[in-house]
Amino acid sequence: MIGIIKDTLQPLAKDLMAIENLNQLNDNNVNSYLFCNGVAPSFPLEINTTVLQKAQVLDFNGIVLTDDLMVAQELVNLPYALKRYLYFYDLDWKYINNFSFSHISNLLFHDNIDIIVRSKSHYNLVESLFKKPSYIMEEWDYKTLKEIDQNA
Amino acid sequence: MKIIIPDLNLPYFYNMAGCLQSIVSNPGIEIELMLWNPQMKPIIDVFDERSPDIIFMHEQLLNPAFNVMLQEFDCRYILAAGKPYPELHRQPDVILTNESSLPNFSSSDKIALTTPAADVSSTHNAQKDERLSSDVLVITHSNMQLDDNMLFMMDYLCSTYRTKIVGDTAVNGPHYLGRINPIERIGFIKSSKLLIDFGSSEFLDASFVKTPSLLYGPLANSKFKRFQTLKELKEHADQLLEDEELRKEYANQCYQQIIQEGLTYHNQCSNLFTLLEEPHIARALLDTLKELTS
Repeated sequence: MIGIIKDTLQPLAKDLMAIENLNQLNDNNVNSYLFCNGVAPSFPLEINTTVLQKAQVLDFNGIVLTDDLMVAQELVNLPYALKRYLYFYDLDWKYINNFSFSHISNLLFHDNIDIIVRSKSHYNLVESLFKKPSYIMEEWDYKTLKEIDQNA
Repeated sequence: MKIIIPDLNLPYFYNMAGCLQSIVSNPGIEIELMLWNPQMKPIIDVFDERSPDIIFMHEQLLNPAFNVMLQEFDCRYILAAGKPYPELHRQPDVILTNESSLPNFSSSDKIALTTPAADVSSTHNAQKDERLSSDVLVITHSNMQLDDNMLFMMDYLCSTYRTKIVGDTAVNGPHYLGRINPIERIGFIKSSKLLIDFGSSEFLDASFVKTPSLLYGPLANSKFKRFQTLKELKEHADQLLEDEELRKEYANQCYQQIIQEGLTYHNQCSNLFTLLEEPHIARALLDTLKELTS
């Protein structure tokens, strides 16, 4: 079971790719869920997966992923999640205004949070700065999501 | 002896407080050290409630109320100032200032120069932390002027070595990991193989915890390896990162330099209390330094 947490779905590249691949995952008979607080009216894709309120992820006992550094703060509080992944679609910490190392260190070095990156170069960078990522997943690729589900 | 230090977010005052705190438990030393928040308590109340024997002051805190206190209380004061001080009931017992401000004071003033030094109090038990480890570390400060040449060199460091950049001044790029607190700072320094100092004076604490440093610029201490060009940086960095024995030897040299030349805040604080004619406090500070470095 794969669950992706988003705050609000926006017509951005990473959200479009997430939904496209979540739909493909569903077509490949992998149970998938989207936990979010809303979908922007301009979001162009059909969402062919179970959509639940973000708060309901607290009861979820599958694999949880997010690509949002702020949402990822909540990953550590999920009591039943089988695995928790932070997906660095972008190297998000660069864009935080006035940020401190402590904003990210507790999260990225947490034993129960694993990291997924988008490319080999990101892999090398994240490994040198924080810890070894668990997977390289291009653009929310559903095949990698399937592999993550099977490996769990 | 009651000593009051204002809590003004001035690193030098915190460093002096740290040094004095390290000797409060020494036998024969009876110091009561207090940090005073000028925003919360007026100076009149401080004197009425605490009757300090020595008070550290900053020129921005000088006011008529303080002048009245000088008349009523037998208290010595150390004044941190950069410009000439106004006429007061008594002149400061010691003036803390930097070299460039010396012409603002008279030859009758007792001066203690404030220069960057190693903060032994907070660094002496530094531990390595694998999460903070790096081959090359750069720490930026809020008052650092990073020019294009420095940024270019930082780019080179990030693309060539396992580099981490931390500190108050943000640097464009994913290797910048944000602002750090003092505990994280010393953890980063201790866990790094090499520190590159672009004018932040971090080399002093780094040397004390035996992390080798390379200093940028022509005014750097000659005993420390320095660089001005990318070629020089590359040569020194490659040499030190590839040869562990050389790195250890150089780190020890840097450490010995700090100790032998008295480049610690304990030494500065000891000098300050020598000027205040408190030899037992001055000696206690040096004895504690010796214990911490043995």
